[in-house]
Amino acid sequence: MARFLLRRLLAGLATLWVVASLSFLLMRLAPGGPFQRDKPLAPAVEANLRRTFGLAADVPANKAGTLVQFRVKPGQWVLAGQPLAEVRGQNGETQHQLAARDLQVIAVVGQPGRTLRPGEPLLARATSGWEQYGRAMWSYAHLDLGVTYASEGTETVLATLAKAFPVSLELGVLALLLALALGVSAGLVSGLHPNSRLDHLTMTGALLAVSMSSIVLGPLLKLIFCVQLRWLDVGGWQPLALDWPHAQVKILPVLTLGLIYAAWFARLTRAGMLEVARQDFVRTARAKGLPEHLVVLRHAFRAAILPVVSFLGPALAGIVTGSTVIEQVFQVPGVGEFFVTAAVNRDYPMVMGTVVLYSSLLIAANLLVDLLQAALDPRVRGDHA
Amino acid sequence: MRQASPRSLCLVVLACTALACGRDADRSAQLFAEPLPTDRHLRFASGGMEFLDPAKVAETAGHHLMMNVFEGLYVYNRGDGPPVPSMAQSHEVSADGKTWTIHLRPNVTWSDGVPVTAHDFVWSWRRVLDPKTASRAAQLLWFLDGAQAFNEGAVTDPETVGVHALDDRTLQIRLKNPTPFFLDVLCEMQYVATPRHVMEKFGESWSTPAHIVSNGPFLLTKHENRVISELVKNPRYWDAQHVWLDAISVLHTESDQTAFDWYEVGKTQWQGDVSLPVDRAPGLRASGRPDFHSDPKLCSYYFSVRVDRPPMDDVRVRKAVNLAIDKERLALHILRGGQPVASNTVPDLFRTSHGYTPFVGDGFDPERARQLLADAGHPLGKGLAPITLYFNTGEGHRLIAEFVQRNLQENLGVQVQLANMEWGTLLKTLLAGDFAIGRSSWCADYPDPLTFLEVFHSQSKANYSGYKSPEYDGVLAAIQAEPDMQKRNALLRRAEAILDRDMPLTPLYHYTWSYLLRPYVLGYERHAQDMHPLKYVRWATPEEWARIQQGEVIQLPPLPGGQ
Repeated sequence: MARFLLRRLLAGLATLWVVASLSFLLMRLAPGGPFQRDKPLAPAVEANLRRTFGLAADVPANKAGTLVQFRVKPGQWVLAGQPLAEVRGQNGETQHQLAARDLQVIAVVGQPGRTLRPGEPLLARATSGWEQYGRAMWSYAHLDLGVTYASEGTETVLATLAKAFPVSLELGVLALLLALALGVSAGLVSGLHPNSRLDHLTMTGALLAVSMSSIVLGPLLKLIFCVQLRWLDVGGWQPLALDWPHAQVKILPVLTLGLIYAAWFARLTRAGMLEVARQDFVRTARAKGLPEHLVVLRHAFRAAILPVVSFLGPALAGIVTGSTVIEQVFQVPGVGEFFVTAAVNRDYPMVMGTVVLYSSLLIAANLLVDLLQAALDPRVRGDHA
Repeated sequence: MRQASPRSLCLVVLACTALACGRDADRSAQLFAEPLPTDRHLRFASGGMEFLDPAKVAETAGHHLMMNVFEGLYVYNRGDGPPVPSMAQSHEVSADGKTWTIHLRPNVTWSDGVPVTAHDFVWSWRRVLDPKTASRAAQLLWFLDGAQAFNEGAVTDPETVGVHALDDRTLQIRLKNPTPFFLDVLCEMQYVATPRHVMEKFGESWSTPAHIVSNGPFLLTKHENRVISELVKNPRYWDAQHVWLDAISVLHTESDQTAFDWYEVGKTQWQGDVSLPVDRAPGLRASGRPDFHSDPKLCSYYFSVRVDRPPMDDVRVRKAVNLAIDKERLALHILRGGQPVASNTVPDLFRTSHGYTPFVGDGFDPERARQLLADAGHPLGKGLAPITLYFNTGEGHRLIAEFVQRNLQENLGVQVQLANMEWGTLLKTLLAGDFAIGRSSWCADYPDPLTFLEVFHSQSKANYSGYKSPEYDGVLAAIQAEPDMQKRNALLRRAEAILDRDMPLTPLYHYTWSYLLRPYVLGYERHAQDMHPLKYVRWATPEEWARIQQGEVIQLPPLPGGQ
C-alpha cells in the first residue's frame, strides 16, 4: 500500500510538471500579453511593470560617456552584435554599444545627451521564454506561485487563491452534500422500484436537471427568488457565516450547483442498483433470509455506490474549484472567475496558479477515490494489497 | 401545426410593448412613491478592485472608491466646474506658466491627527514615479520637469523631479511645459498625498482597512475584494461640516445584470460604474424613467485607417469612406444610447472649461463620397479589392462593423470583409500595422483636447494608422509650448483641421455613459470625466422631494473654483 501511494504521488508530481509546462507554453503562444490593454502604455512604464514581474531585464551601459543616439526602438528585435546605441566616450570618440545577445527592446532609457556610467541601464529588454520558464519552475518548486498582474504585483497568487478558495470549497462541499443526499436517495429509490411511476418521475427530473445548464437554471432561480419574490439576496458571501443574512445568499448557488450533480448521482446510483440487484451475492443474501433493508443497505448499496464513488473524484475537483457561471450569476467570490479573467487578461502567474490548483485537486481527489474504492471493494483492495 | 398569422404576431408584439410601457410607467410611479431614506447611507455597485494604493489605481472602480478616501491639492467640482481647492488654499503661476507655487491649507491632518504637509506631497509624487513602484499611471506625472527621466530610470536622484517643499505649507512645482489645464491634472488620483509615516511602518499592508490612514472626506473601514467596501465619514476631514453622508457601501460586482438587479430591488441607490445590461439600456432610455441618465464622456470611437496601405493610402479613398457612413443613423438605430456623432476625434466637451469649440468636419454625403472614389480611379468601387475591417469581439462592435459594411457597399460599391478577433489579437494586428481599417477608441488621459490629438503624433504608440506628418507634429509641439489659452485653442483647431484634411481615422461617435440613480439623490452632477466626489451627495429635502415628484429636475450648481 505504501509503495502504491508513493508511486501515485510521484506520478502526480510528474503530471503537475507536465501540466504546468504545457500551460506555460500555451499561454506564451496566445496572442497579446498582459500589458496590451485599450491604451498602450508608454514603453518606460511598461518596462517598469515588466521588471516587477520578471518579464524584462536591464541592458547596462558598458562604457562611460555621453549618449549620442539610440540605434533601436521599443518593440524592435535586435540580433547579437548589432548596435544598440552610439556613445561618445570621454576621449571624444564615438563608439557603438553592441547587443551581447539576441533581444527584444522594451524601452530605451533616457534621451540623447544623457551622461552614462558603466553599469547604468541603457535599455530594458524582454526576458526570454527560457528565462521566464526557468524562473517560474524554480519558484513553483519552492511553492511560490508569484504575484498576480491584476494586483499590479501587490498580492501573491497564493494569497489571492487563499482568499477565494475557502469560498469555492464551502460552496462545493455544500453542493456536493446536497447532491449526494438528493441524488443517491433518488437513485436508490428508483433502482429499487425500476419502471415504477416513482422511477419515471425521478429519472425524468434527473434528465431535466442534467440537461439544464447552470447558465439557465441559475438566472432563472435568481429571477424568481431574488428579483420577483425578493425572498433571497444576492452577493455578500462570507465563508462559514451561517446566520440568516449570510446563509440566505448561499441557498441558490448551492441549489443550482447541487441539483445538476444530484442528477448525475441519481442516474449512476440507479444504474448501479439495477446491476447489483441481479448479482449472485445479493441473491444469496436474500436466500439466507436477511431482511430486505439489510440486503439493500449492507450488501447491494455498497456495491451499487461504486460508480458514484468513481465519479466523485472529478466531481469533487470540479465542484470545489468553483463554477464560473454560478459564481458570476450569484456574485460568489470564489476561484471560478479566475479561470476566465486570468486567461483573458493574460495574467500568467494567476493562470498558472489556477491550473496548478485545479490539477493538484484533481490528482488528490482521484487518489482519494482510489483509496476509498479499495476500502469499499475487496476486489480492488486485493489487487493492491 | 398551425402557423401564426401576421395579425396575431402583431397583436402579441403590441401587447408586449403595452405591457413593457405599462411596467415602465408603473416603475416611474414606484420610484416617485419611495419614501426618503431615514439614514445617510449611500449604496452603489462598482467593479472589483485588487488594490487600494492611490499610486497604482488606474481603473474606474478604483477611482470611484479612492477619490473619496484620499484628496489631493485640488478636487473635482460638483459637475462641470473648475477644480476646487482641497488640501491647497491658493496657488500662483509664474509668467511662463511653468512654475506653480501652491500654499497648503493650515491645519489639514491625516485621519490619525498627524498634519498633512508639503513634504508628504513631494514624497508621494516621487514614489509614484519611482521605477520600483511600477505604477501603470506614472505617466500622468510626466507633466513635471524631470519626471520622465526619473521614471525611466535614466536618473536616479529624486531631487531632479520638479516638485519641492519650500516649507511645511508651500509646494513648488516645476513643469516641463506650460500646462493651462494643470489644475485639472492635480485632481487625478496619482497627485494625492499618501501617509508616509504609516506606509513606512506597515509596508505593503498599509492600505488595508486595519492600517490605512487618509485625508479624504471618508475613511475606509472594510474592504473585501469582490464583495464589499465600506466607508464612513472622516471626522478629521478639513471640510467635514459640509460632508452630508455618514456612510457608503460599495457592493462589488463585474456583472451588469447583478448591478441592475441590486438597483431594481432597492439594494443600491446608484448603478455605480457597472454598465447597464446591453439589452436593457435602449428600453430604459425610451421609457422616460426619471432615474435614467445618459451623460457624455470624454471618449471617442473611431476606425484607424492605415495610411500607407493601398487602397487607403489615397486620401480620397479615406475621405470617401468617411463620407459614405451615415453616422446619424448609426447613433439612432444601432447605438441607441444618445451618442453624439463624431466628425473628428475631440468630443465637444471643452466649451466651458477651455472655451474650446471643436472643429466640425464633413457629415454624411454619399454623392461626394462617390465622386472622390471616382477621382481616385475607382468609380463605384471598380478595381478595388475587398477591404478588411478588423474589430474585436463584442456584440456592439459587430453591429457597428456590419452597419459600416452595408453603408460602404450601398453608397460606394466597396466590398468590405469583416474580421472579428479577440482584443489581444486585434491589438497585435493594430500595433503591427497589418490592416486596412481597424476598430479603435480613445478616452482622455487628462481633461484637454490634446490628449485626443496626441494619439496621431508620429511617435505615438497608439497611432495605429502609421500617420506621420511633420506639420502635425509641429503644431502639437506648439500647443505644448503655448501658455496663452486663446492662442492654444487656435492651434488645437489647426491640428484638428490637419487631421480632417489627412483623415488617418474614420471618426464614428463619442461615448455616453448611461446609469440609474434614485431621483432623490442630489449632488451627483454630470461631469465630462465621469468624476463624482461623494462628499457633494445628499438626499433631497422633503420640500425638494415633493418638487421632484412633480417632475421637476433639481441640479446643484458647481462650487466656486480654485482660480
